[in-house]
Amino acid sequence: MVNPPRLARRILELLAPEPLVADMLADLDEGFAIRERELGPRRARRWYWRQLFSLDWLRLHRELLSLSPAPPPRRRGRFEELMTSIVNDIRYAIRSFARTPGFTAVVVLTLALGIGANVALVSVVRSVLLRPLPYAAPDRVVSIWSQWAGFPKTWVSMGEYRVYRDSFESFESVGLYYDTSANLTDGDDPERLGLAGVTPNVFGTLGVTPILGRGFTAEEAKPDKSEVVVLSYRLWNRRYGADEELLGRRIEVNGFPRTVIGILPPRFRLPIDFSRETPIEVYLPLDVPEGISDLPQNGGNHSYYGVARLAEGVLVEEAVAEARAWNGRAVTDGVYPEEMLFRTLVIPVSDDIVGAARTALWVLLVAVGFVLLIACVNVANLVLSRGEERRREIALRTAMGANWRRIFRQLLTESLVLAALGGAAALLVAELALRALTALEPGSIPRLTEASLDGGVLAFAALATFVTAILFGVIPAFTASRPKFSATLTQGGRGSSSGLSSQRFRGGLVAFQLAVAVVLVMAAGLMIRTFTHLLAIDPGFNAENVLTMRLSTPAATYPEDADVIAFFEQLLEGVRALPGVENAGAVRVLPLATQIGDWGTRIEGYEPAKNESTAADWQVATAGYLEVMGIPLVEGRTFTQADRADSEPVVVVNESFANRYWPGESALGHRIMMRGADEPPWVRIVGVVSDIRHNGLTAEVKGKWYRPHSQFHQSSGFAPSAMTLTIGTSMSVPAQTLAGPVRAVIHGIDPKLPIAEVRSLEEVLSSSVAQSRFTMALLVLLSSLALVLAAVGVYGVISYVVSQRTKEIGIRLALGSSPSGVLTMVLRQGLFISVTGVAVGAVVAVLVTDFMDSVLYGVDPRDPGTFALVPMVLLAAALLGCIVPALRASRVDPVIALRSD
Amino acid sequence: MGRETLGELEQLLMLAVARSGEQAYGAEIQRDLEDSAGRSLTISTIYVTLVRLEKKGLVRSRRADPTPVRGGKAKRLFVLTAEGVAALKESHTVLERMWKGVSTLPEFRSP
Repeated sequence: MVNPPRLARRILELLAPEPLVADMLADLDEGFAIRERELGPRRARRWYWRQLFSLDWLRLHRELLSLSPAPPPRRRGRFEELMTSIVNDIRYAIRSFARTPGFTAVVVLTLALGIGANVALVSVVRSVLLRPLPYAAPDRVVSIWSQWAGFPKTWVSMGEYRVYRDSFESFESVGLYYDTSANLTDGDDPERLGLAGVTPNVFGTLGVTPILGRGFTAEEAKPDKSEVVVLSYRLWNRRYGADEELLGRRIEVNGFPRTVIGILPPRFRLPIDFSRETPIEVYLPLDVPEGISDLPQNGGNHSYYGVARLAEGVLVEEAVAEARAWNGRAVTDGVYPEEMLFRTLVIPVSDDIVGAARTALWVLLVAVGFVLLIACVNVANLVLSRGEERRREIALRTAMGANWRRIFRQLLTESLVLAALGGAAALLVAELALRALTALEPGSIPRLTEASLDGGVLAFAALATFVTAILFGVIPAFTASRPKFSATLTQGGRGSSSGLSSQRFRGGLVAFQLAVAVVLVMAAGLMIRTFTHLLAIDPGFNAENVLTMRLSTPAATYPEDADVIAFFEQLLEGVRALPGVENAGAVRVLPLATQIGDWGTRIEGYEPAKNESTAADWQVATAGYLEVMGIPLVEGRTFTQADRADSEPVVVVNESFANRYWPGESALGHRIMMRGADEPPWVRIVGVVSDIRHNGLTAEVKGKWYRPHSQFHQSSGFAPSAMTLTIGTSMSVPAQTLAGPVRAVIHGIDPKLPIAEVRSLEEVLSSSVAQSRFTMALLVLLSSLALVLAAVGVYGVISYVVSQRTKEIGIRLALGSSPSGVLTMVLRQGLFISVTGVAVGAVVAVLVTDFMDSVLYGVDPRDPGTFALVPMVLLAAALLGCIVPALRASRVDPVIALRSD
Repeated sequence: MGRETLGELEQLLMLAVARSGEQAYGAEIQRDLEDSAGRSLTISTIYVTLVRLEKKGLVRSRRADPTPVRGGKAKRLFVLTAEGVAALKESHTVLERMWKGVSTLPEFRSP
């Protein structure tokens, strides 16, 4: 049986009056159960939620309050007296709100949106930025990266790792790991999942112990001994039903049997795993052989992630300083050329994981706070208006002996009750917003899916509600509770003098509101420009009508390079024969999906300057790949089926590469060499293709070469076994419809081969701008909300001003003023407020948009276009808010205006 | 007549109470109104009306003992008072009397 929605039930508990709450909840539970049986859980849940939305909750409270008989008079203590009087205030407040449902609804809705958006975002920030990582003492864990000219943040080599591990005093321990994908081939259900190779000390460095079994020993890392495997908690649960007997049993990873020796805790993930699409579920030991050095003078294979635990009491800055000192020594010792600008990056692991999302989230958090501020001002204005209507009631009560403190408390209680209603509704808004956020966010923000409305967030919601009530309630309560009551009573409640100061005050509030809105809309405008710039970047390839999927041939079934090459050739032949397929190819790393690194390269006849690096991005592709991607050929040819292991070794380079070494002449016919351990062959350049964006749309394009998949092992000693298929389909066939037929071809050749990351190239392209799109979408949403609220604020105040001045306007019209004169007068007043607010906002925006610099692209934080346009938009919105009341003022009938009391 | 006339909603609710004998409670009334009268009301509306009727002395409510059917949860049972029965009958008679005068209704056809 399904239970009623928990959140709705909790809200109902709050809504239902005390004496009836148990009965009503029981009734609703029963009603839900019946409907769930008859209509299904979806409609039953909808029915349950609908029970919340009724003003009859207020009426019910009112009925019950007037039902209870007056308590017998008796002596009470001071505290009891205070409590009773507060309870009375609350009752009075609820009763008065029930009398004005329109006002109540608008206020509650405004507050619900403002508070709800904040609660949702705070729970995201809490989950992404504030919740501790699943490591022991996570603030002592750091990531280690390398940096050199052209590579702001790249991998670590084993040689460097040994230096950090053996000679750095800042580190208590240092671990090294890499990540890749693997096939789990035991049983009937092959699966492709994330794999990490870790030095045995990685788990200790992160401070995690397996919940079952143990981690790796140093002995087990030795290449001939490595027959063991550690699994993630998820995999153990999902695939093996959390069977404790699995320890000691053998499973098949990439076709090799391995003994399971440990299961990691549920929340554990390696730092890199927070940004992976497929989570790492299998851990193998990684051996770092002693002796060989791969510091850069030997080619330096930079392909590992470093992680370290700071020694007790050591600060990150001290570790950075130690790294700097070593970097300096390494240059003097000739390990790294000075021009290479090699540096060791030591980054706190939390910064490393959250990275770019951090600024975006803070910007959004500030934005959402601004929206709440604007909402508060609007509500304050509404409450003020109501206060004006109640001036006479309050003056009367004061005259009858109520002191201002008592009235102040009464008014503040009303605000608190309103805020509490808004806060309750905000939980609903927050829950929905959170669901929408997690559904829309494409995975570029780590740990977002873990966000939920837990106790801490609920406490924040309560606090936000309370603060909001104070913000919008205190000033109106203060102004209303101390009216010059004699004046109010004698003036018939419409004194022009008290009206004037109040008009000024409220004008000020609206100006403030507009200022805040300007800042928000500016931020949204900058983000829109960033996004359009991103979209305008030509990736260099054609993303339409291309289907991609990733495969990896296990070494057990395909032990020789020739097996791997033959498999992909056979597969592509089969795929090309499918109806609807125009061409197909395969590539080592797909642009904008997997980062590409560089490979030491020699250029025949080119003498690099001392310490100049001639490394280039290394790509391996089959025939058909360049065609499918629509990467334009500049000169020469692309690969064909005739480029075989036994034919002449050839290479295609990109324009950046060709222009660097052969500026102004053709690169065709020149020879280059991929450095390797044995004697690699010289390979001849047979084609030059255009540059494409690989490591992100905004990343620098570097020199790059493409080797045929059938020949690469001659240079490197291995044929890449993990490749991404790229399948070009004809215009009339949607790429995704071919996923099934291609799958059939693959499994026709190898039924045990898992397939992963099946998506169209357009999806790959679109997910590369996902985070910018997400930030932009949220900012646009929030700033639209701000814009509307601000316009409503202007409307409210000008309407109020007009209603206060109706008599005066009537006199003006009676004395011969033209309606258009009145219109201009009112508009002028509105514009004065608006221009002041917008101007202040623009000045503030100049000061604060710098904050956004790191999430912007191709646009200055003080972009003149945005700074010119946004104030216009705001003024237009404000004008719209003024025009209706101004027109109303110009149509005032002097006779009626003068006759009104 | 002297007595305040019953509103339509009040009548419907009292009828629902009357129809279920001694066993009328919120969930059942809500469902009966939905099934037989085609009126889908929220539980708060139903309780507001019942509380009003109770204040007018037309219905009476009491806490019933928990039953195993509702998972041991108690329910609030509503019954008509003598006055309630009289008021319901009265409005029925009024309606019947009024209908008696109607021999034919003009026919309207939709275009």
